[in-house]
Order: sequence, then structure tokens, then C-alpha cells
Amino acid sequence: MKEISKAEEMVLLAIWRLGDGAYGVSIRGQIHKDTGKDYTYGTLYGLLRQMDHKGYIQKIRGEPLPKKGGRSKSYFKLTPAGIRALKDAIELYKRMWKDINDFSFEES
Amino acid sequence: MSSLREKDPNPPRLPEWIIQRLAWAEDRFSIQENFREEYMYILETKGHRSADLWYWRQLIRSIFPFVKFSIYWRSVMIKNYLKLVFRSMNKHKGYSFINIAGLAVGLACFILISLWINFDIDRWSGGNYHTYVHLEEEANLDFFKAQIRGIYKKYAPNWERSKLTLRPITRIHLYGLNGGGPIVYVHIFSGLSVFVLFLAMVNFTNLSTARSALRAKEIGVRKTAGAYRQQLTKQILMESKFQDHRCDQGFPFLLPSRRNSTSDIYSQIRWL
Repeated sequence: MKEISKAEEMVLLAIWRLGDGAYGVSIRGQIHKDTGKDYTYGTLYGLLRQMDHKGYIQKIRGEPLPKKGGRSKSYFKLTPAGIRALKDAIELYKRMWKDINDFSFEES
Repeated sequence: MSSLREKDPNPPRLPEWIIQRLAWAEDRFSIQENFREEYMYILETKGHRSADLWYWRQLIRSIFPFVKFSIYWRSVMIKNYLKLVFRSMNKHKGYSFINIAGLAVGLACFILISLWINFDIDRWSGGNYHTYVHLEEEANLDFFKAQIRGIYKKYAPNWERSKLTLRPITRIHLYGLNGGGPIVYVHIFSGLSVFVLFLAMVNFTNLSTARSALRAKEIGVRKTAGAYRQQLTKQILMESKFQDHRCDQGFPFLLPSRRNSTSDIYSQIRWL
């Protein structure tokens, strides 16, 4: 299976952390809180749509906004494939960073 | 004035409009909603100016990814449309053949006749026992006409009924020297070519409309699956455009020399 990119990984993790409350603003906020990166909505929604296409996440229609002509907010949820992708990612990291610890890169 | 603006909770209009234009249809409103929500939050905590500033900055930084992803998804959709074109063409082979062949033959007739007319009107050959006169550029045509009318009176007074007339060389070929001439055929054929073209058009339109009832089902399924009106329009348009393109591709083989000789007419036909 193809590995996910770092940006995708960040978005997937943010969605997982947020649970039921994952939508545009909160995902962006979560990523900023976790990693300090300031994603624009352009990038974020591009990634979201791509991952929706790949089947990692699922878009869920929420309740319509309480105002005239309010549209329903779309929430995002991880699919089993998305969770598997995250597990694969961490497995890959474990294998990559095997027997390397904090002191490995120190000059002796 | 500023207090009025202060109470207006809506974000600035221009960037909202830009977002609407840039974002792909599926997420357009969610994205706008997100922008609004964060805008409102900043408006309440930090005030109007920084909220507006935030909005603009976000927008400018979003433009590149928006454009990039839009192009990406558009290319995905175009691939899909093309696939559908081929599928529907293979599914309705007879229909497609009649449609394309009819239009191609009609167009070919029209273009060949136009070529012939074009050739006939543009070029001429001379060579008979009439006298040709070459006038200097600055010569006075009316004066020359008057002079030439008096020639018989002066040199051959007995030939009372004879007359000399002038005729521009550009009118010799088509109008003939004794009335009539190929111009009649030119008119007949141009009428005919327009008629053939009209027939081809009617045929094409008729076949397309006749099938629209059958396609309603397909479109219904597409809409249920979440297709947007714009996407459906694009798909159908692409199909007929493709058929049209096929006739265009086929027709130059009918001509003795390919596009270069027909390029001027070809370019006129293209927009049809």
C-alpha cells in the first residue's frame, strides 16, 4: 500500500484527535496546536478532498446552520482505511528509526 | 460611517466573491462558511481591522492551492467525460454513425461547393477577340467613357447602331460578354450549399433531441449520485463537440490537397 504524505498524516491525525467535531475550522486549529503549522483553507480542503477520494476519510453532513438558508456543515470522520493508513505510517517510522535514539546523532 | 461598518458582521464582499470563483463546487460553501466562522471569531476578539486583514491574507495564501487543486480536479473530470463519450459512442454505434456521417457529408458538400465558388470568384482567365484596355491609375474613367462612345460617330458614321462599351476586367469571367455566364451557377450552387448545410444541421439536432428522452434516465442517475448541473452540461456538450470534431477530422481527406488550400474557408467553418 502506498504511504501517505506528511501533510496527509497531519490532517488524518487531527481528524482522529477531534473525534466527532472535525470540520474545517477545528481541523485547521488542531493542526496549528499540534504542529505549529498554519495551513490555509485552500491546502486543507484540497487535501481533504483528495483523501476523501482515496477513501481515508468520510464526509458527513451535519445539521443545517440555524439561520435563513443555512447550509449544513460538513464534518469529517476517519474510515477504517484511514486508520490503517495511520497505523502503517507509524509502523514505517518505527522501522525507519529502529535503534536510533536521542544520542545517536551526537558527535562523539 | 465607521460605526455602521463596525456593526456589520459580514466579511468583505470582494474576497468572498473570489473564494466563490476559485473553489471547486463541491466544497465551495463549506470553505466559505469556515472563512466566515474564523472571521467572526477574530472580529469579536481583535476587532474589525485585524479580521479584515486576516481574511485577505488567508485568501492570498489560499489562491495557489485553490488553483492547483481546481486544475487537478478539472483534469480528472475531463478524463471522465472523455471516457463517457467513447462509451456512449460504442454503445450506440448505429446512431453515432448516422449522426457523424450525416454531419460530415453535409459539411463536406458545403465546404466543397464553397471552395468551388471561392475559386470561381477569385480567379479568372482571359483570351478572346475583344480589345483590352489598360488604364493608367490616374485616368478619368468618366471622361474615357464619353470619349469612347464618340469613336464610331467620328470614324465610322454609317454604323449608327454600333456601340462600344467598357466593362471592368473583374466582371468578364462571371458575367460573360454577351449576358448570362457562370454567375447563375454560382448563385444556384451557393443556395444549394446553404441548403445542404441546413439539412445537415437539422439532421444532427434532430437526432440529438430524439435521444434526449433516452438520456434522461442516465442524467437522473448522475444527478442522484451527486453530479452538478454544470458538470452534466459540460459532459453533454463535450460529447457533441467530440462528434463534431470527428467530422471535421474526416472531411479534409475528401479534398485533393489538405488544409493549407482550404485554411481560409476552414477557419470560417470552424465556428459552426
